[in-house]
Amino acid sequence: MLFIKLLKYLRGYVTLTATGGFPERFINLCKRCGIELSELRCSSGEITAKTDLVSYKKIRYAAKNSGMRVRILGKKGLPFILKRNSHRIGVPIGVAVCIVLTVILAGRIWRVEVTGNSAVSQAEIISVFEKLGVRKGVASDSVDIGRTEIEAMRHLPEMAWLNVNISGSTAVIEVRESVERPETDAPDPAPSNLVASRDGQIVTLRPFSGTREQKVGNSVLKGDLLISGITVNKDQSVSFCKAEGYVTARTVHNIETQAKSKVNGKIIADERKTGIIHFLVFDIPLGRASGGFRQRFSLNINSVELPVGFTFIRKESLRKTETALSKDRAVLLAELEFSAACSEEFRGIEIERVILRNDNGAVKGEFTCLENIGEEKLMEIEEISG
Amino acid sequence: MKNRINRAGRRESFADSISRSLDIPADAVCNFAHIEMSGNREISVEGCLGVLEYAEKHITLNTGRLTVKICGCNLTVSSMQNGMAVIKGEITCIEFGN
Repeated sequence: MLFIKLLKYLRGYVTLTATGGFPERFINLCKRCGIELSELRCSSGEITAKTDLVSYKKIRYAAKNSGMRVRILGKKGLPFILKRNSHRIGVPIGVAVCIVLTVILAGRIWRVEVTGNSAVSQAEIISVFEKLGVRKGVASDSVDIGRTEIEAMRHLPEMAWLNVNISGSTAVIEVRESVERPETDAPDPAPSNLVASRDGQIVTLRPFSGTREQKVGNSVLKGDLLISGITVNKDQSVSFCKAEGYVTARTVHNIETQAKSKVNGKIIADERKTGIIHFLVFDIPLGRASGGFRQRFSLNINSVELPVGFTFIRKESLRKTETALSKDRAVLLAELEFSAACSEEFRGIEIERVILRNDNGAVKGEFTCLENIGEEKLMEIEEISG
Repeated sequence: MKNRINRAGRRESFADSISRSLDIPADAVCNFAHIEMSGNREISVEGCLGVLEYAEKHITLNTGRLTVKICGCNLTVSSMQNGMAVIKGEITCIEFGN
């Protein structure tokens, strides 16, 4: 029914009323003349009906012979709209341009998607395919998919398999990456010692390989040997290995930050805003579009990115300044710097005891910590011939 | 066509007797109208030759051998093409006449 209504609307229809005379004769004459009357109603000798444009032109004969007076109540449909707007030349031109553009643009690729990649970046895959002709604005028919896939495999050796599917205006590149064979024959590790990376008192000493050179409770200085990579065998011969182990020591860290009376900074001296309009394959700059902070906005419909968008560019020129600080602000800044330094210093370290002091704006802290102080140091071995 | 008298004493045509004896639908042989109804809201009459009467409360159709009077309210002739009339509305009764 909806389809019939649509057809009627496209053909255009007239709502008419006929009064006086003989309604039955009018209906029969209309039927005989091939005039299609629909939604025919009769009340008190007055007929209301709908008919199409062509039939309405033939209705005069039926009306005359049945003694009816026909009046138009309303006209609806596309032909009437077109006639009403026929003097507006822009409308048909716009419609024609829209149809032509739709027909032309529908056969081109406007979106390239990559799925299945993890190690190789999407940008890298797209750049390879762009070189091979799969890019925005290219006619879908002109892409030789088989040849492109073979060429792309040559350019992307990391891929085990790839496939290009063109669906409408979207080219979907499906890829599967190859997995590298793990190296089973690992080379022998170079012989090394484990030395102390900081001064401290040893709390735990667990050698995994090599010879223990210190005892728990010993105080060591930075660079002292903790676990040796030289092992003496039962036959008094010596073998070298990579010394490995877990050595924790109680260490002391001192952190101090000074309050500053002045602080150097940068402020925005000049700010310029410009942009680039993206439409299909064209980029239209609205000003000097080089450098600066860029943010791209694209038109999306149903999470499909359309080849229409805008890039916002903001360029800032900075100027160095020196700002004087009040005492409170200087202390606050020193505390913030102290806090940042602590978070950097004590990453992965357990703090046992803290002593904090605030001395004339300077923030000082003494931290007693437990940390792994083992540090690998390669051995220098010299072979003596003879 | 020559009319015959059937067992019930009614006059019937040769086509009538053929359709009855061979069990063929009467509208296929005897030039009867084929009438279909959807509830009491729509009636389609196939084999309609014209409108005999069109009033607010009833429509009388000419189907050749019979006249069909459709009574009801809000009766609308939805379409009348190729000998088929579709009437919509609230149908209360249908009467047949010769």
